[in-house]
Amino acid sequence: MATTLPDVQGTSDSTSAHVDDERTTVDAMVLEDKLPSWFRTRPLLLVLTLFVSLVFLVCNYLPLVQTDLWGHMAYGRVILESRSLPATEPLMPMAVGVRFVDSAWLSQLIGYSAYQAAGPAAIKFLYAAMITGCLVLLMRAVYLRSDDWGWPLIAGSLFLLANWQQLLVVRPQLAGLLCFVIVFYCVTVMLKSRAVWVIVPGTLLLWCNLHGSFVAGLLLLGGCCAGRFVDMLLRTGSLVAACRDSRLRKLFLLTELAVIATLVNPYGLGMHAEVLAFAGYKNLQNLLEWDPLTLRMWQGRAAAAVALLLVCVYRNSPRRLSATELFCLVGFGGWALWTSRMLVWWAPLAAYYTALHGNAVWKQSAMYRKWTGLSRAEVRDRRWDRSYFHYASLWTVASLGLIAFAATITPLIVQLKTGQRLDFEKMVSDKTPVAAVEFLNEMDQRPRGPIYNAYEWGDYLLWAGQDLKVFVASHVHLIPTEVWQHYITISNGATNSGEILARYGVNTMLVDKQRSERLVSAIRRSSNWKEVYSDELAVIFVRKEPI
Amino acid sequence: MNNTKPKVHVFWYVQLLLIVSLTAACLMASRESIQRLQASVLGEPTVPTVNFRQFEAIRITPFYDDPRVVSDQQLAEVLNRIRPVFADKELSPNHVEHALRAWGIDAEFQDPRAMSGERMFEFLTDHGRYLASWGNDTVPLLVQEGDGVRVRWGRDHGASVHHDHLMACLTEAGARLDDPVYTAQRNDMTIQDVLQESLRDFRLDERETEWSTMAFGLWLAPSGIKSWKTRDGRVLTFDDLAHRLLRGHQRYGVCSGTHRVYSMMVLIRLDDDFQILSPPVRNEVYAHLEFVRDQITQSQFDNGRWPPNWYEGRKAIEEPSDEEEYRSVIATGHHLEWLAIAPEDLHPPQEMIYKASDWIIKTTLSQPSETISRNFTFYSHVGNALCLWRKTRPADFWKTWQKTHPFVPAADTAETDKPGTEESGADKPGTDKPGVDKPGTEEPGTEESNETTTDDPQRSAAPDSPQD
Repeated sequence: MATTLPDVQGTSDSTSAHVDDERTTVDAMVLEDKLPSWFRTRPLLLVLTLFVSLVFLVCNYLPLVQTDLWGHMAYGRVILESRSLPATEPLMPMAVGVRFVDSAWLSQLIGYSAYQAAGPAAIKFLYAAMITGCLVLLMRAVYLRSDDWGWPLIAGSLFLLANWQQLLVVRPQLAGLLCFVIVFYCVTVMLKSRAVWVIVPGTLLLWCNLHGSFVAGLLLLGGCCAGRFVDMLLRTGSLVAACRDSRLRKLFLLTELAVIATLVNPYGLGMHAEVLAFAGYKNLQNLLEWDPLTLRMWQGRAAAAVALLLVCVYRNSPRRLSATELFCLVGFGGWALWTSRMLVWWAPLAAYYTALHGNAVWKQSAMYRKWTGLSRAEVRDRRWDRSYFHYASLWTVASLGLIAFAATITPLIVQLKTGQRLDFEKMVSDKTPVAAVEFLNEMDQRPRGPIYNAYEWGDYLLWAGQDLKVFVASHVHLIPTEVWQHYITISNGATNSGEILARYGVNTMLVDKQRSERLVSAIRRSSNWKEVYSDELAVIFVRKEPI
Repeated sequence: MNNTKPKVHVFWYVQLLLIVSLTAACLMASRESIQRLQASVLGEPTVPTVNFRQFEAIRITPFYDDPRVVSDQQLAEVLNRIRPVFADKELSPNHVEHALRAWGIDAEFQDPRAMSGERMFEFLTDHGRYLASWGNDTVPLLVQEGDGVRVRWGRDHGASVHHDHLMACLTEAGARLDDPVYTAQRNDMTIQDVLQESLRDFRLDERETEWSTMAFGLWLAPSGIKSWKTRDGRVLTFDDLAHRLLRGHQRYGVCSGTHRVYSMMVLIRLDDDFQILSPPVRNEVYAHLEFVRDQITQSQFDNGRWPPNWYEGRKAIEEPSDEEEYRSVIATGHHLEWLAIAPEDLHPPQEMIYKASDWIIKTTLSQPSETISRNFTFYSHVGNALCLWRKTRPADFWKTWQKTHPFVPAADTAETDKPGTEESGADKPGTDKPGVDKPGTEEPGTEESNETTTDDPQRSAAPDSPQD
């Protein structure tokens, strides 16, 4: 049977072919879709592809933030050059001898290798790919459960809204997020498939080498397992019957296999010890992202909005609230409240369940029935009637074309086509002290002793500073407590900052003009220092009589 | 067809795989990883230990025996001034530490008022002896910490003033690792337990590291140990200690920056025999000592003293600071100490050494006894330095000297009543008793802490550390 183009109501083209009532004769002027049925999709795909492509492009063109990324790149460089994982902190002189369990070694290696191959454009491409990957999986999961075009879009939007602040920083945690979404996808929509026996443990195996957040994956699996058990127990009223549930057993086995997979890393149990000990590092208390989530934070307000929406849909949803949803949302939500950085795990869960229940509410609503002209019974059976939708290869081709177009205008592909690397300064955030670090590298007299630097710039100094001795960088947990406390004291411009700087033998200071006005004023007033460099972002002071 | 019912035997295979994997992981895990896991889960702290092969610390022997620096008579007179005659009540650990370091455990005195080396050692290592001096209500000087013994230090009443100073003094006094230590809780601890705790709780970035460096070097080097792990898992080497000593302005070192010079010289001497420093770091330290030599060459006054701001070189003479004399005693005495164990290429011109020794001897002998008492810790360094220049030890010299010059109580009293002689043991109203801590006053003879402020970051950062 020939398939026609979608009917446009009220219009007719005299040149267009018409099909006779019995559909036995095809006008030669009408395009026939002869591609196989598996290639045909709905207009929905084009809409979703457009959304995802836009996000992909935006991520490709966002400037690279100055924190975290460059530190990881520096570690990646160390790993590649030495062909080994350092046992102690290799880059920060103040942290010499501190035990170093590099939980993100694989991300660092991949990132540095990509940078070597194609510069910052490659990093941006990877960054955009990870975020887009999360979106695609999340939206597909919602689509498979809702069979609707709107709710995947809503889920994707909520995910971005709640998580945007976390997603802005390019760091190995994004690889962890992608792994998290993969695992979530497996346990929600793929659990009946045999492929999960490979995908879930495989993902955890990769994850425990990509980033230390693999614990979130184990918690997710454990939460799903516990939730399923509670559901079955409530349903059957029998412990034995609950334990015999095949889905529960599958989840339990997957959790165990995931635990086994996480042992496959260069440190073995040492990785787990490090991850468990991580939250206890005192230095983290001074970092905003390790503070509890509050409404004073932008992301706190976004999370509150999503939570409110979640409550509303749950209130009206005809779907049963499963124990799994409860454990996951409350568990990860509580974790996010405790430490705002953990919001990154709650956001995809919240987005998914909001869309799921929102879809249920919508489908149940009178407005939906009026819009579609369907009865309640027809609505209930809607998902099985594929012939209602307009499937055509056109949409697939259009979607693929859109993807190709989006890819070709990314900085990486542009760079590959032109054969020239793009300007570094244009690829990075304007908060990156590129010019100031160049000045330090080119000083006639190399800075002696450690350089006091703003913490946010430590990573870039590790990356771009040529053998400059950084005071602190973003791996705060590695910095000795005294050193970190002294850094805080100095950065606040305290009255004894001068003595502390002298005790450390600091002869050069790289100060953030915008964030440390008080310190800049204090140093300018001091007779021991002279200003040798200044731009909109940074100022460099040098001690008049070096220690 | 999707299989939603894993077979029963698959379930048991997975359990077996889990057990085998976890067992293998535990067996392959380092002891440290296991301890860290235990610490995270059970709250048990990690306890790294160092295995010592030798139970005696190495002694740094001086190079020279030069009577021109100090004659026998002069040496005897100086040592006479610094005999450890202390009041029994509220005996200052800081004074006893300095006295023990200078005199040694084997020191013996015919004067019954003077504490023998054994008695001083017992005071510092026996909680009972400490209590006898300070009373039952006092906080112990030695505190058991798990498998180790921590020394209470800081500005607290009755504490050892400086971190690891007690350990360093016991080391240089000739203590052995298996010598007993008696805490309030246990009777089977030894000096090794004190040393292990010192190694564990050492922080590279704490304010004073000079004594820790000395103690660690003298114990670890002979056992072939070049690195160790602290309680927080940090691996430290002697290179790190050397860099730490080199770090920062010299004026922030203890005793006008002279102690770190001595500690660096000890590291060099240990490196000569045990190669504890890497070649580049050794060169750095040596170059710094050469720089110090040049600084003291330029900063010596005509009368031979080195001022407390000796590190300013010529500027110290051109713009002399108005400091109390004892600060020059500190600088001069300490410089003489490290020069005695240094090779000649690190010496200023020989005449300068003679001038310095002449000045310090004259100053020491001319001081009223109460001044010596008040600044006992500084003058103890003078005695030790002069002995080093005669390639002897105060205990050995004094034993020999006492044979031909026995102690005469009446003569000694007359001698000590003279201005510039040691105070008699009898109570004198209004007189400062040597070695007595007065509550509420700054302890005499303690190191001045340069530019210490009330908002010291180390105090605020580590509230359980009494001194920083």
